[in-house]
Amino acid sequence: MPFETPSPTAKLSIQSLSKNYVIDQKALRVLLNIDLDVHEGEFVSIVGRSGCGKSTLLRLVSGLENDYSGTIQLDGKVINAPSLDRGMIFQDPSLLPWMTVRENVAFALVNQNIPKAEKDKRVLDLIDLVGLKGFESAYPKELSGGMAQRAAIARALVSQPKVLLLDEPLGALDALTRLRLQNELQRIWLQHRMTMIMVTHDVEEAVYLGDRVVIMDPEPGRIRRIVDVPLAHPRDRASPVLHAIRDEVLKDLTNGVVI
Amino acid sequence: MNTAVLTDIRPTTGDRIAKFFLGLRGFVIPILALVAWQLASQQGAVQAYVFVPLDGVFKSLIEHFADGEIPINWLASLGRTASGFAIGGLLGVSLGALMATFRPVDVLVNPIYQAIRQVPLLGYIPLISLWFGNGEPSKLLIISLAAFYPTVLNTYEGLKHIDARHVAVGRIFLASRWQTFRHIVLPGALPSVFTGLMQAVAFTWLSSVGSELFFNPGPGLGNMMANGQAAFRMEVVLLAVIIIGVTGYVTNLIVSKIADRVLRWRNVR
Amino acid sequence: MDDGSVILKTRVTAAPVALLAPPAPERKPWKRQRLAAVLSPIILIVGWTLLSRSGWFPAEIVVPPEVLWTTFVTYWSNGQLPDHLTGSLGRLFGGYLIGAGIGIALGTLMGVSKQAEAYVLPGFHILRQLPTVALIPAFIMIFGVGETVKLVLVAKATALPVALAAFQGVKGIPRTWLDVARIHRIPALTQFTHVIVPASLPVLVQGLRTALARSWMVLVAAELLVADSGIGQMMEWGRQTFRLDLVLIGVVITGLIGFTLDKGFRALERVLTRGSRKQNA
Repeated sequence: MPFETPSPTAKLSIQSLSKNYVIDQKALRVLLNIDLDVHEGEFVSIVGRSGCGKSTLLRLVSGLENDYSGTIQLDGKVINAPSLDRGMIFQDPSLLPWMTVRENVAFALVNQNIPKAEKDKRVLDLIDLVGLKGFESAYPKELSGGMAQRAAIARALVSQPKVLLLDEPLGALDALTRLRLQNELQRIWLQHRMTMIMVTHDVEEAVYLGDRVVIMDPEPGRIRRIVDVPLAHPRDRASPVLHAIRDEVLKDLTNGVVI
Repeated sequence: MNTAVLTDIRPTTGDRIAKFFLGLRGFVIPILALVAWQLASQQGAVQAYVFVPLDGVFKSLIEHFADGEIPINWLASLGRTASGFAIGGLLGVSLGALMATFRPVDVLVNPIYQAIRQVPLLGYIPLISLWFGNGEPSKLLIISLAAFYPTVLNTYEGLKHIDARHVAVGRIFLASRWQTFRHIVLPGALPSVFTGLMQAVAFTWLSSVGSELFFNPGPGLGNMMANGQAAFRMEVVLLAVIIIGVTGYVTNLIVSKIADRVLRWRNVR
Repeated sequence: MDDGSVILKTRVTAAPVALLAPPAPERKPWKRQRLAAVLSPIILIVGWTLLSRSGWFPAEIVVPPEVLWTTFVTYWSNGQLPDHLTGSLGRLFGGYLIGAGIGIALGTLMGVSKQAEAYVLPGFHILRQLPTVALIPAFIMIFGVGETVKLVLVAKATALPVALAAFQGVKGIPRTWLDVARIHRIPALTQFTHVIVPASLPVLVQGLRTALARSWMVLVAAELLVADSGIGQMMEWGRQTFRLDLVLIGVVITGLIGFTLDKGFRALERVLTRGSRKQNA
């Protein structure tokens, strides 16, 4: 893989990133020499088989984990702790069950010095944006899986992060809800033009949403290839170019073995 | 192809009547038992001592309500239970929280707590009687212990098993320590704390009656039973048993309604 | 959440975290943990000894440990303590077996037959509201002061929770498991022995364990009130004659028995339910 020199417009820059876990006094290499630059406003999808460290990569960028070698920088600043300029969405919506949708979204601003009126407005605007208007006072138990994930998206966006990290955000949803939320994600991304990095198992989803698709190999986790998706947004699911890229990525992932 | 015939599946009046009578099946055995009891009481004077006629029980209910015996004893037991619940519950929640928060407290107190808990509560009665006498303080001690045990345990467990995902949410949004406690730890532990309090309610009521059986002085439903037994007045003993059962049932109902309200976000399935 | 069971897989570590307190050092050496567990009991015993030596309290109130030991040895060797022990344990197991038998039979019957459930369950819930301890005086009047009343009390304290557990165990069996058996046209008896019994076992065994602890408490209470032998009677006698050493020995033994019964049952539980999935009861 050619080494990319960090371009001046790069927002997020990852260089020779490696990460080991120590299990039973044996080092387990989870990530090896990852180099990746993500530009401002870019949508990058990461696919790979289980155990390729793609979720670990996301957790490192989020700052939830900080024990690594190499560098991760956002706007030239080293990342080693969570910060509000990086939002995160998990496969599990992880809403706090004792808070209503509105309180859950507002919780993202719990430690922010923002006037209450503005806080309220931002919260309601985002609930509206993700299409949950009318459910402000609902508790998470009253939401369907898709609605809960919408609330989680609103919560991640309300602090106005520069980068949004998505760890298999739609993985637990049924097929139809999934398609609908893919479109929603695309709409939100187009509206806000923020940087998004999404880990997914679904190649179709990765290609449909991503400007680039990063294919990773397991044990140790490393980048195998980066595929460009040179199509304008919003995209047409039926586009033959899209299908061709999808097939190529799939073939690459399965080492040419037909499944 | 025929179109499907849509039948009205709403319950008809007939269905409802059938359902009503089917629901009555549960009363068959209790009624049979009462009839058997009544028949036994008519077998002779000796049997009537033990199997007091049901009308006698009812008569004595009215009588003892009017002469104040039931209200006085009932209120005494209730008051005792409430004080014991308040004392033991407060101490229990505090100690459970301390043990979950500070490791030295956990290390020092947990083994002793586990050790005392092994002895059945009423088994402490002879010991408490010798140390503290047979009066009100001894009863209160037993009842407080009854509230103390389950609240310590459940508060501790609740605080120790906060969902790691919820804690991660707090970290992502840079919640301070206090904010994490206020918004994540406290509500997360609340269901468990409530479980402890509900167990405490049932357990204090039982041990209130139990301690009154053993420590004689003062009013209370337990004393009413003990005196009834001594005087061989089965109707009084039975009345006390019924009042104890109904009161236990009602308090339990009230507490679980409160829990449902406070924990209305909880997903019960 | 409606599909909460599916999405429980999470990237976040699933281990319980120590909160507020700074993260405890990972896994202390085994020996230090052991030491910590016995630290406070040692402090307690030493404190007790010092207190009994201090002369602040008469020896009848704060009994010196060595007196406890000699009393224990005396009562053990003269056969009184073993007699009390066998008396109590005999009643406990006798009543428990009767109660558990009735409970399992009734509970399972209610679980498999809708008719039985409709007839028996409501009466059951009524009976459940009456704490066994509160029934002691009434039962003494009905059954007298002999052995019968203790057996009946223990059996009552056992039968109700066991029946309920057996009932819930059978009711909690996933429908699909029974459907599989029916699709394969498995005879009713085989269905019972190969599906219903093993599938409801974990819940039942749990109920059997709690029932044992409750019966023990009820028996001790009953022996305090009415008995001519047994650990409870020994304590009551110690109370009347102001022998605090006897009372304390009784308390410790009562605790040890409760502890042993529970631990033994948990061990049995692990053996019996090995391989069978924990039900969400």
